[in-house]
Amino acid sequence: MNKKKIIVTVIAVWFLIALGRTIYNYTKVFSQDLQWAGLSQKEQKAKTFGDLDSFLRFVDTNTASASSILVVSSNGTLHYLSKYYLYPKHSFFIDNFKDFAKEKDHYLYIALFTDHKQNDVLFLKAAEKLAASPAGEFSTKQSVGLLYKND
Amino acid sequence: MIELVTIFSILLITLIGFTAIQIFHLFEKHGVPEALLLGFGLGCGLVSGQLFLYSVFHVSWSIPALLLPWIAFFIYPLFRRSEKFTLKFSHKQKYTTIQKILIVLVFSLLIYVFFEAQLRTVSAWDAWSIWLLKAKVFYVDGFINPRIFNYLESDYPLVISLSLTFMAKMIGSFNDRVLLLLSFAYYAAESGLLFIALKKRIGLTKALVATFLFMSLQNIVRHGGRFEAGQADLPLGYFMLCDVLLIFEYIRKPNVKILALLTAFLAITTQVKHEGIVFAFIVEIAIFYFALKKKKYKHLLSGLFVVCPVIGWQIFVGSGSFHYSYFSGHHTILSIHKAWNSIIGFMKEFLNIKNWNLLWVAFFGVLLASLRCLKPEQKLLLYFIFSQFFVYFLLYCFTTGNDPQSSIDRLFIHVCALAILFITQGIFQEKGVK
Repeated sequence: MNKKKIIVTVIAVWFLIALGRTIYNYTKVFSQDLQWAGLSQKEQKAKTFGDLDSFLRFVDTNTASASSILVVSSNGTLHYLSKYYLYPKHSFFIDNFKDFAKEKDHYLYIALFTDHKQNDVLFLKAAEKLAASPAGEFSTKQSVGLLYKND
Repeated sequence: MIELVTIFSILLITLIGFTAIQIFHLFEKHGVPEALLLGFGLGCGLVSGQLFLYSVFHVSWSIPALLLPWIAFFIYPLFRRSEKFTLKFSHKQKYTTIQKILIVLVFSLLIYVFFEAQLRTVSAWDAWSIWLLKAKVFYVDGFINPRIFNYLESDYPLVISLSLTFMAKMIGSFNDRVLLLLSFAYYAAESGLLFIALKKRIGLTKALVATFLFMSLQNIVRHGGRFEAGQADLPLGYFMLCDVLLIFEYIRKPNVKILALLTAFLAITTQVKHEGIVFAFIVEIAIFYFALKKKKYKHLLSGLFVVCPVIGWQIFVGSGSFHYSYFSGHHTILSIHKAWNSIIGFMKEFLNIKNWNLLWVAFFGVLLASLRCLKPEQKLLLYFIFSQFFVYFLLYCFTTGNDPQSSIDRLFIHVCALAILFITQGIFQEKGVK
């Protein structure tokens, strides 16, 4: 078989794979994708981001407009997701206790979040440090969020 | 309703770019579909430039202020007596059964990706942490605050985010589900342009086959409308394809108008992602080579217009005391392990059938088979593809925080349409492009 025939065979196999995948994609529309269609945008976000979505909505609802919020969590997704959800409120993210001790007094609100509440050292230590003035609490099966307001 | 307004805003962006091409006769003797598909990209660049300049000169981003210049722009050709504002559509064509089947396949993919793009809210990390985040911030603020980039921790250029902001302004709200239609628009525009370029070179049937092969690449589908939608890699791929097709055009007919359009596209490419700056530089080297070869010395100045937005953007970001930069987050490092990891990463991705079907297998197959008889366009395509790969390879080798596992699938999107062009020219007889 010459080189050109080999390449044409590769293209033919590629075409068959492409065709199969296109058909498969369409079958997924009915088996998987349509469940998204019936959801509101709010529900879609909850499905995409899980407890993070609920937590950020909780923070957004319970904080004053144009405020600054220190978000403390070991879940790094919150770094940018909090900025995306909360703007024009300004959020700043930290994921270690050393920075927390340094930063905690510089923001109007402090929002703590964990999605493994039993053994999150950062969360427990930070919560202990701030337990005096809670401004709200959010809780699900796996996650806890605490909101504090600095006076 | 909001979907219709979003589609209208994309059409408006396309019309702005298309009108610019028509008014200045930048792309004469080409069909309307081709000018429209290029017009979409040019329009994205123009509306982004508009928002940026309005912000610099403290002009409000109100809808009348945004639309008035473009309305004048649309009306202008009607008042110029000598203006030939012709719309040239191609002749009606009779299709064979195979062609009809292929057309159905291509449109089934278009419909699928459009549907998927509308199905769910944004979910890709880079989409919400960079592109839509910036778009939202600009939309909420109503201008671009140079100080905000420290808060955003990113100095990525603004064409994608500002295009999204423009659309949000037209829609009247920041709805990140409908804004994902911009990703679909790039998917459709890149596929359309590739099809037209292929049709000219290898004929309708083979062009339809190759376009279907491109559109069905799972990575392209994901970025066009599924879970990866909202990122800037597919748009960069579109602009890089535009750049390459326009430089082919320029090499065939080295006139100022094509060069002006190519320069505009290169300038926009630099403002899509940092990787676009590298590619614009690679293309500029080719322009320099051909301009010198054909003794068009004035054409060498076009490079200045490509550099201007890069410098302008750096000055603007610097004016806000921006203290993050690409290399502050990715320090240079010399490590054999990283070099080896990069080579393995590239190899794995070339064989990643899940993302690319047999694209890269066919690409290297054609390369090996036709190494001694490469056509001129194939040589240029190889130069573009491998130069870009080489830069990505260097970044993986010599910078921290970069490894193929995290981003190589996205970087390959930038050049995959060029790879399709290369493959088709290697296995099909060229018609001879007019």
